[in-house]
Amino acid sequence: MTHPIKILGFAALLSISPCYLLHGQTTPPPGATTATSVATYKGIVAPDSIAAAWGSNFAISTIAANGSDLGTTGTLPNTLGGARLTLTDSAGVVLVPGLYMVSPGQINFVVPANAAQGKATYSVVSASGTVTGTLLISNIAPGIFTADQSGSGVPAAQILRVTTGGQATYESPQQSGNSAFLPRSIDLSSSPTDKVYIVLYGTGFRRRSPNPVIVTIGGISVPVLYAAAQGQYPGLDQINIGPLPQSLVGFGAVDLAVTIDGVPANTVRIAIR
Amino acid sequence: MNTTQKVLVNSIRENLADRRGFLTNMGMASAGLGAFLATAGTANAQVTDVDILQFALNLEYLEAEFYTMARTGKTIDQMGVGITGSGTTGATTGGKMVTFIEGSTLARSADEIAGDERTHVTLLRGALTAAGVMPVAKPAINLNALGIGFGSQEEFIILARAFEDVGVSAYGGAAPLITSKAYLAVAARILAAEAEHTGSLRLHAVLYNVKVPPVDPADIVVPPSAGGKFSSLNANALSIVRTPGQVLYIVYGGQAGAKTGGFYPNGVNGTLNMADATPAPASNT
Repeated sequence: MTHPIKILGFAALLSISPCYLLHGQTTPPPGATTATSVATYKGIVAPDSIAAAWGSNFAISTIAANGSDLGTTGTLPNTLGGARLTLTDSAGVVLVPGLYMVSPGQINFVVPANAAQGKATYSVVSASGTVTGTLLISNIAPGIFTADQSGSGVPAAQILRVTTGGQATYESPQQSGNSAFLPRSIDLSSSPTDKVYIVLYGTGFRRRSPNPVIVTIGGISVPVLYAAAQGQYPGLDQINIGPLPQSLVGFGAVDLAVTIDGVPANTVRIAIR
Repeated sequence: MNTTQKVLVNSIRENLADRRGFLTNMGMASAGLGAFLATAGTANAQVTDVDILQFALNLEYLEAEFYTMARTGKTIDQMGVGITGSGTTGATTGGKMVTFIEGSTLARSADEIAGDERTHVTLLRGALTAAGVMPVAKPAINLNALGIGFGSQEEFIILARAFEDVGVSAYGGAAPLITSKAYLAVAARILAAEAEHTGSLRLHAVLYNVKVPPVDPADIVVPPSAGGKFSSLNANALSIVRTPGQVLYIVYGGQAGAKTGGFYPNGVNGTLNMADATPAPASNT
């Protein structure tokens, strides 16, 4: 099982925003800013990971890089909606990250791959002014994307089911409609001979060591087949786990925990029957 | 003091009851111990076991303050650890709580080490008190002596690794100077504790891809630093050793013959308080 698995709507996930538009208004100067991983919402990020600067008045509307902006080389624009971000790493090198999205209160960007570890400062430069903040850059800072963008709910993942006949189908780990952000039970009992895998998406762990990645579901270890860059979107990483053991049958809603090089990612929640 | 500490202190007290002096016996200490010869050659024959324990206590104060500040933002005094005693009590300045990824092995091990170092302070103070000696007071400590250590996890690893490797070498260097078997037994166990600490920190330096600068020519750095090794062992697979003066050369900020500076702006308390004229050499057998 290799990593390039089609991701539905991932660009939209990265374009999350409070979306309070201010059309026709003069934008006040940007307010104070903090920066976090967009997956864990913690202030430590890794090179080649996706981060967010939070604040106010960065832009008057929400603008996201679209597919054509990514281009064939997977590069992102450095300016969106008249705003850009510069990052000065701990070595004093000034870098200009690619941007996924700019909104009045948030800028999603990719921490440059060559950013030195340690304390960095960044500046959000927009038409209305410049605001500066700090963030910490570490070799890895693993995070798993969640469908509800809470950092702790149902993972933004895909369930891959492979029958004994080799037929592969994808399922969602989340319910639909008004319950979209509740876990949808992964059925391990109806067809126990099926092999069921989970494809998790995250950021901040592609620089991990060759040491084993540890994934547990309800405290039970699950095989990890792949944990590295997703390969299509800048900063996006992917973990493929499975087949899920039959010992998980009937667990109901459980925690899925990922630990990479001794660093835990944000724990997410799935359901199994 | 917990039960184990009481046993250790009692062991020391009982041993000391048979002793009326602490004069070292360098001939005994170095005989047949090639690894210790270099240290023994520079040892001061007037150094007593108490001098050595007091010196060790100064270092433990520094380590305990560093880890405690990094994990809690507090000083060991604020955590209830005793710091008064002979010499001059000084404030601890600099440092702050480090931002860690909580739950990581680094953060968890840092918590453990912080507790260990505070316990070492209490243990040494108890041992000295039990021997009828007033422990040295915590001297003034400047945790910001190098301008790093608290800004990130990586800075923490750099400074912690240095402290632990220097600590291991200090206990190793002091071992042949100790005449009391009871003291030596405790020092050996503290050395082992420091060695476990440095093993953990060195592995985290590897995992976190942190380059660590050498503290002196004898220092053995860790990957990804050029020429680094996972363990800080020399060509004989032995931990390196440093005399008290070589240790002070480092913690005073690399000043030859200094009595103050670096992490100890007013110097350490006790009789072993002056840096050597030169750092520990690269050839540390």
